[in-house]
Amino acid sequence: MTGQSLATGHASQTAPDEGAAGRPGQRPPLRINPLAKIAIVLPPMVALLFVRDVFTPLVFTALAVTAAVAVTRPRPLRFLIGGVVAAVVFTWAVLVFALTTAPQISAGTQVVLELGPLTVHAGALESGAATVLRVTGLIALTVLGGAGSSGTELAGALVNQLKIPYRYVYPALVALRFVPRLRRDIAIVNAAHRVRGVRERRGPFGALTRASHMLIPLMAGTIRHAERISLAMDARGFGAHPTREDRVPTRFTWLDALVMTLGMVAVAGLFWLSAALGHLELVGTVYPSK
Amino acid sequence: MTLIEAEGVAVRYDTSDGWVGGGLDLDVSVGEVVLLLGPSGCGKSTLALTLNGLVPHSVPAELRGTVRVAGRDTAHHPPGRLCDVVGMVFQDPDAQIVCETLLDEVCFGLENLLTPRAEIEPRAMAVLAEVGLADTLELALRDPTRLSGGERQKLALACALAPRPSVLVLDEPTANLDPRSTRDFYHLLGRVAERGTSVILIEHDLDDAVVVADRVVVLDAEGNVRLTGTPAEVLAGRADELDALGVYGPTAVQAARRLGLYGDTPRDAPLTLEGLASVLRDEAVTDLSWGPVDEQDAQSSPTEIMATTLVEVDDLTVRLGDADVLRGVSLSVARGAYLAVIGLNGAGKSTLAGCLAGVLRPPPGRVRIDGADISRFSARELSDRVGYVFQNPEHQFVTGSVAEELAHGLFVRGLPGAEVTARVARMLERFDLARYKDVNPFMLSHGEKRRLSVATALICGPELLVLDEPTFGQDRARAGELLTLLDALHTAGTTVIIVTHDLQLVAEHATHVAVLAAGGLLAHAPVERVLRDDALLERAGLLPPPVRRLATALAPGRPRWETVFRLTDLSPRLP
Repeated sequence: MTGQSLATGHASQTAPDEGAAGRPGQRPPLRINPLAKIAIVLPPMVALLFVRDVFTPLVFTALAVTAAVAVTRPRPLRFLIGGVVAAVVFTWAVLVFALTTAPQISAGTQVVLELGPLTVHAGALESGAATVLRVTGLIALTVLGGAGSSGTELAGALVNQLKIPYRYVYPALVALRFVPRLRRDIAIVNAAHRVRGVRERRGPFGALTRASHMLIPLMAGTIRHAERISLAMDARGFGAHPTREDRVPTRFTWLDALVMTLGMVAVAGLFWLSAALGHLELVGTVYPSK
Repeated sequence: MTLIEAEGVAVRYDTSDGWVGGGLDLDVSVGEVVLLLGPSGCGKSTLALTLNGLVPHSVPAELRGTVRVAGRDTAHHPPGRLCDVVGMVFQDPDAQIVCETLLDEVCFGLENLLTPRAEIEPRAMAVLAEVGLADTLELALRDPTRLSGGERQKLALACALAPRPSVLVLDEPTANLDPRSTRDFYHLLGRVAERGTSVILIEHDLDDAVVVADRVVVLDAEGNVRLTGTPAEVLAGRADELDALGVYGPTAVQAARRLGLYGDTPRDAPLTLEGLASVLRDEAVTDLSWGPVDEQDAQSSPTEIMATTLVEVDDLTVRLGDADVLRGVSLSVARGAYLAVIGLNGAGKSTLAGCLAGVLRPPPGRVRIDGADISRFSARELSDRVGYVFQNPEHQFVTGSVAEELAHGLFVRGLPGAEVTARVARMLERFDLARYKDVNPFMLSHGEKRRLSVATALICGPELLVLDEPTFGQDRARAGELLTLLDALHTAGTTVIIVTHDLQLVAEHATHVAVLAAGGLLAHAPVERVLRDDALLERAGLLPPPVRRLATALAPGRPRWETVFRLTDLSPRLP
């Protein structure tokens, strides 16, 4: 909402927001090329798909949570509430996955919980926890890999270092900004259709027809917006030349190489630690198995 | 020296068989500011797109005739090879922003044009300072999506100015802005034009734009140049021809004509409210037999007949995320009222309207219609009582044809087929949509979509019609069409609630006004009490409607002007 800033009629005098404060100065001396960060997190993300133990993904999740808490410094109450919510969601997810674990995986392990017809084996619980932690570990690595990089920097790095033509990179960046707009439009169309009442039958077919009716206004709006943006970009010379000047070009420096190497070594070290402690379990498929 | 030479311009879009523009000729000299007017769909925007080569290079279309800008033929120069001579600003502030900071945004064009690296940032910072958005790096690193609409349009102007073009083309740059932001924008554009930049401006709200214009060019519905001349010659001298074309002149000219100051052709009528005020202050003129209508002659306010309450809002607070969008709003809307909800962007207008119509679920017991709690209504009960018209009519279409669209609400109610057919036929006739009954609603023109959305809101016979900024982004002719329709509905007994920025519109049509500021209700009173209260409007951050500003300027020593705020308050005094 722009309400607060507009209430005075002089929005330009409001304090700079956090988004800008996150990039103080134009290019502070210590900026790591986004590609270096991605190079650090990509191998463990792939590896995590094949990991089946609890310990390894837990390490990466803990690392990301620690980093997030250190950077955002939440107030104690918020931290506590967040912790409780996370614990509840985590427990619930683990239970769901434990209950859907194939019986042969947990067969023979100890029964930890009996609730009427429901029996939960320790093996199922462990497998469920491993699955949930694998997902959180992947999310954590994605967040860590993107932390501190702006979209503009990533675009610059893709063009300058990976030599992807800028005509493909920038439109992709702009398209990402459609997401909040689309989310708002969905809410409006949803409300509009709700107040008009529904004629379709209940059940999956009715839901499908309803969804298709919502899709048309959303598509129409999004295409029109995309056309306007594309005209506005063309009018400002986008695509006029085969290359484009970059006012502060991203570089891949010795520092980036050093950070990348250290990061990769650290990641390898964590996997080694997990193996040395006897936790690491790797399988040949991404599907749950044991 | 001629900067733009357009000869015999006509455009055919690949999606259509017809040609837009009937072979239009237009010359623009260096430093000239041309105001381009014409009815909806006459090809103003298309002409604008040809000036920097977007037509035919970026938009799939065929261009007939030639357009030369600074000697370059736009048919052979794509937009990228023209943006150092033509800068463009479009209507929608949201659809022109592609970067994460103001600075990146202004640098974007310079980077595309391969400006030497060392020059880019200083030039961008200079332009940002010039448009008043940022004079420090910290301000330049703000996120553009956090700016107000008016500021975003200034940013778009900064981006167009950065490559130092000789001409700026602006296509309805203030259509989505509130009056105060519009005024600011034209002050800024006036300063830019004074430095010698040529401007081609398409605009429908002329009060502020007319000040910067050197020449006015009016197109007719076929896209031919009908009138051209100085703003005074065209806007005042040919006012009746503009009427016939459906182009509205500035408020000052409309007011002067109503006062009968200059006869039928108000050739010498001033174009600005300030100008008109000083003419009216003139001793020689005050002797003439004109003046505002006496209070008792003015249209009798229907306030007295509204006895019963239709909508009751009791201490309504709405939180979205961390912010209170509405705080403790209480008001009751009488049956038969025409209520306008006004306030700045973010004041909570749309949220209030949404709660009154049940589009947003208010907390239980806070909003009642006819005594019944709106939060408990089903969709069917709701649309029996309230019709809601969304800002974008497309959002509420749920079927594949105009007739089905109208029938939808009746079928939801389980009405028999014969009755549905009869009621749909009546509605098609009443809203002049019969020839489109099998057409997909998305294929209609904007004005027709709007009519259809009002018709669908009304077909279940609700007593209350709520409209969220129905005239937003539309020209005066289209807006006028809708307002005439709403007046007819109101006269026939429908209670109307409208959210709008246009206070002159409120003055002419509404019976009551609710003023919101930062989520709180500042006032809810009959329209004349609110719009004559300059201090109240100032507290809400709003500019009084143009006619009221004129009256305020004249009121000292002329008590009859103290009560004036409508165009219809003005008329030649009969002997």
